[in-house]
Amino acid sequence: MARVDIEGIEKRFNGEGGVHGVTLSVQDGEFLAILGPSGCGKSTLLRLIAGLERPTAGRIRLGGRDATGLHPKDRDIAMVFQNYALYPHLTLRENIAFPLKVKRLPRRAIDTRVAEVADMVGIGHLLGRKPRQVSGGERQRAALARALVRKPALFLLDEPLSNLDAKLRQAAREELKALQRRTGLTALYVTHDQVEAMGLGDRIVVMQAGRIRQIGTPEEVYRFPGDTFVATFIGTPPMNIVDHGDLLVGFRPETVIVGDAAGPAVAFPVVIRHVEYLGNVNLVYADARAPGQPVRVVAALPSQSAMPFSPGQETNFRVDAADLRFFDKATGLAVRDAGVTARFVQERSDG
Amino acid sequence: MSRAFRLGDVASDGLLLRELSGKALVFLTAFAAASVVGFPFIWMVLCSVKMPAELYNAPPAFLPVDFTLRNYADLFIQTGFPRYFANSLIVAVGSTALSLLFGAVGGYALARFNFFGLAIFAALSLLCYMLPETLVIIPLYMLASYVGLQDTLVSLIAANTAFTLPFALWFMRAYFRSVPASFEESAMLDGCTRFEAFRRVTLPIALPGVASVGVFAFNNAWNEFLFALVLTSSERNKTLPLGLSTWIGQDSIYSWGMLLAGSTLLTLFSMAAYLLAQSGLMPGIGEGGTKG
Repeated sequence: MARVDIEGIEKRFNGEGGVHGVTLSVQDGEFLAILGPSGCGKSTLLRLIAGLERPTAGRIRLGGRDATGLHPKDRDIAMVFQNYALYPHLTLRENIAFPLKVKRLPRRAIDTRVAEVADMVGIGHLLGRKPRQVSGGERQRAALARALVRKPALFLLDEPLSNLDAKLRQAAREELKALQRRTGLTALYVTHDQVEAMGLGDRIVVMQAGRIRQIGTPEEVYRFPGDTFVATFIGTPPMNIVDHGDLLVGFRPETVIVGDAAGPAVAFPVVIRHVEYLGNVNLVYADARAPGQPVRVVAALPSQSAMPFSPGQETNFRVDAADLRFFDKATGLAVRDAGVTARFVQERSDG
Repeated sequence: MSRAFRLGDVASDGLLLRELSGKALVFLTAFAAASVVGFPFIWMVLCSVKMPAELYNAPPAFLPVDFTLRNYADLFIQTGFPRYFANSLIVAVGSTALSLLFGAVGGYALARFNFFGLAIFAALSLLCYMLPETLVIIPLYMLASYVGLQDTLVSLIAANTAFTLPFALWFMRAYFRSVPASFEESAMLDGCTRFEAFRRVTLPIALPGVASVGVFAFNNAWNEFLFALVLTSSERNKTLPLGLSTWIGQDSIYSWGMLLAGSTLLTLFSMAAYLLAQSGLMPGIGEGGTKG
């Protein structure tokens, strides 16, 4: 196991995409999720670390050693591809044994290790089959086993669960987390699914347009988004953003209390548009009064609570001052300053 | 057919009848096509086992009156057939091997790499493929004699390879493009060099394509006539098609029976090679998979 240090890595393609000036460190034993919309450069970043792409500029260090120009085979990295890349002409056993066979390990050692890893991921009974003869979930496990078999310093996982159906994905996610805890492996996990990133990652790297927008624990990224992109990309429904002079004010839908009753909270006057029942929550859609165009805001309320709202009704979305987030209107970056909050609360209560 | 009619109700009978007549039409067409293509071949085989005198009977009998293998025996005793056969085999195997080697490696390079001049090279090779044999044969002869290779089997192997290679390159390029790059990327991360990844993963996956190119190259070299005619002159270096053709026109026909017997063996061998490639090579892929 080893740490990874990426310094100002740059990859330009003709046209769009690529990675621009990414600096990032992964600690030994850490599970780092890279999250972003498709085309944000997260897969390219992974391929750069694997050595499948050459960076235009910047350095990659693996375990303290410069690996920028190293051939993929010399990096001691295992990768699980989105399409699994199981060799179709080999059985699962041969697929899993492949990295060890390339290393010319003795046959008996290979057999023992393959059986061990196959049992760990629960495909011990399928080893004689070809990849096309097993299900998607089993293929995903086989790909995982092939990555695990030679105990590499670093694991790269490129959307390994995206080809599974929703139910299987949930189970596979839990297993993957358990496996990671058990083996203590260092892993970079690329996904566009925030639930996967939040559930699996010790830390999350949020990327957009080839740049890192924020790095933090799932809680940090969710509660204190670094900018408006992260605020609106993470969370379903995303954070509400309301204009306020040269600032943008943000609040999560679940921090909202709807109604006119007085309290310490800051009130946002709104007009209710409609209510959506989702089982566990009710989503209350409303238009917040703002300078110029009204802004669509959402409140998520426990579904047991009474819903005495009708479309067109004027009321308030009330949010505790501690749950408000502020962003610079020009840059979109978070403004974390107690003074700003106090001033905003002051202005609101005056008005 | 009548049983099928009894089993179905009226509506499905009508359907069945239409289906059967449709099938009959397909079979008739296929039969007609097969007869046109196949009759000369069958006639050749039948006549090769007839007595020489019987060949001149009018009207001819379809089946041989006296079955004989004398034509085949004469072929080996009286003529240079064994030598022609060996020469053809050397040329066909040699140029097939070279076509496969350069076709696979070159096709891979065309499919995966992108450096200056590669696209031009690919286009040029296609252009070469469009040139007819007759156009290149004189320059080719001059080239062969310039390097001292006239009247050798090596010059034939080179000429046939040169003629097959553009096809091999383009075919293999298309085949390799259909193999996702993630297979060999995965192999490289698993510890292979690029060439090892090519040999252990990409090539086995592309084996059906390799087999197709092999069959094409072998068949082409096996039947090739013009290169052999121009590039070789001595009896020692004649290939089968050339050797057999020289029997035509020397003192009218040397022996129809032997010519037909020789042609039969020539055809049977290339058919056998084809079947071998199809049935012997394809399970070989699966076998390679399970044995590793």
